[in-house]
Amino acid sequence: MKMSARTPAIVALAALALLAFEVVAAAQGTTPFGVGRAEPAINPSSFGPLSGVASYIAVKQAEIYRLFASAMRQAAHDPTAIVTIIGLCLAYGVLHAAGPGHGKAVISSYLFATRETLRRGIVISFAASLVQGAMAIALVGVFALFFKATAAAMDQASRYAEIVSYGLVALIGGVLLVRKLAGLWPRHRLASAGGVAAGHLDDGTCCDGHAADPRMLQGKFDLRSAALAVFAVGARPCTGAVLVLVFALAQGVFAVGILGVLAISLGTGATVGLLAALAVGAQGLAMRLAARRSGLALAFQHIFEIGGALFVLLFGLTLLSAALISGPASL
Amino acid sequence: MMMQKHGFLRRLLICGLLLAVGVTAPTHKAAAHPHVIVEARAEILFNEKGEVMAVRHLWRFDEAFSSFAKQGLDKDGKYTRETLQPLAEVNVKSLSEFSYFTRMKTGGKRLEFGKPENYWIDHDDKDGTLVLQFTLALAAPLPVAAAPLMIEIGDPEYFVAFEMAKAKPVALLQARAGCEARVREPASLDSAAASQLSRLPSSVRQLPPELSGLTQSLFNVVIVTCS
Repeated sequence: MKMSARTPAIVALAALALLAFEVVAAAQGTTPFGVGRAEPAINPSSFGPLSGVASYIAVKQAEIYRLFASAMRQAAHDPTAIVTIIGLCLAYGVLHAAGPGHGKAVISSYLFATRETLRRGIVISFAASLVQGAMAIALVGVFALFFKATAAAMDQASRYAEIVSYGLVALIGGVLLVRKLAGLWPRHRLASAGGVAAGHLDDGTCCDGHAADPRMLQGKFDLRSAALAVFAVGARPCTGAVLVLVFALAQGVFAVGILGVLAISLGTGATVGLLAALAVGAQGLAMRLAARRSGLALAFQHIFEIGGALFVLLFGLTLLSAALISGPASL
Repeated sequence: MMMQKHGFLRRLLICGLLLAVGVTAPTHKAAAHPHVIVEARAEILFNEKGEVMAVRHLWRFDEAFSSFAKQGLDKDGKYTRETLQPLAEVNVKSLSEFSYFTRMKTGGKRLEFGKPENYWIDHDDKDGTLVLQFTLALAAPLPVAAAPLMIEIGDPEYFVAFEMAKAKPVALLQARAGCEARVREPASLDSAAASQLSRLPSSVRQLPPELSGLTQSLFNVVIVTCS
């Protein structure tokens, strides 16, 4: 019985570790022209409900871009252009978040690790997207508007934000992992030593009351670690949002740029929220399936929590090392 | 009983893992490639002997990238060649890693060329775009005779989308009579290929082999012939 609970756990952790290293971390840095940050990303795969939309957009990209550019030029004297901008930004946010950005991976894994509720998962997703938008507005507002900073200086600031963001992601993963393991081992020892009723883990008989326990124990910390996760994901402003703001600023319609970025945030939040809901749902389904078999539910709970925390940690470390290697912009 | 349980558990786990993969790595980034759109013009420079000496690129960046790149480089609100020179330096320095997105061939043979000379950026005060100009001189002047000179301009990885200008894409400077230039536009990307490319994250600079063949057709080719 011990074997059957542990072997798959090891398999699951190994698979998660591999998944984390699927992260494409190489060549993160600037564009071929030496200014403007290129975004890091996890390895994309070729399935998903948006593939038709994506291929259409890829073909029409230059046209869509020109539509956006001309709308931005007209925004100062034509309010209908603002509607076009908001619509395009909303769509960009939805599709961008569906791509290989780090936000949804971190948030989904975080939700696995902490076993948050559906509602909190969605709130966390939207909060992270809004923080990300706010960071872009702050970056451009402070650096471009007030300090008249150069593109290279803004690249540098973005790079520091990236490093802070990825460092925090790794930190959250580490904290979740340590907290989980610290809570696991003493009880494990207790269980094998003397058979304390609430302490058993993989002896095949699960108690109903146990599942609610860790949530109550962790409830106090959850808000703090959730806030940290929101900030970790949001700290790194999205390149697209920065570009929209800078372009709006150049056209003298910074306020329109801010509206556009808020639309991007809402779109991003919607997609990340949907994926977070899927993550919470998948976990719930697995737990319910497992609950039919005695003893499995608890094993699954541990696998999800440890796996999720490990994934967040490895993901953060991989992105962090890539960001540190990529070096400063060269102006 | 043990065996059955094991099998069920394994199946459940595989299910869970698939779900996890599906949640963390699904779909793809729309509009990942290209990231910068360049409207290109080329000037072919001839010497007194009627040989091609160099190609001068004039690359107009898209408005959004221009706005980003020129930030803070104005003097009293004006962008001049002088104030934009640091950007031009960074541009040509970075472009060296990409062979200046230029390949020159004649009769199937690759021609060597040197580092960029006479580079600067002009600001278009009408639309705020930036035009990067730089000259790539051939290692040895080429008498264009039997075989045409082919100048390929493009990004094989499609990070940058190069489009030749609608008006006057090529000019021949001090060419002798009988020389002509035309442009072969790249085959337009079919939707499947565009979709494959769009799925690549922006951090990817090295295309997988199955895609690199596909993007070869994305090059703009300037063909110079002399009779």
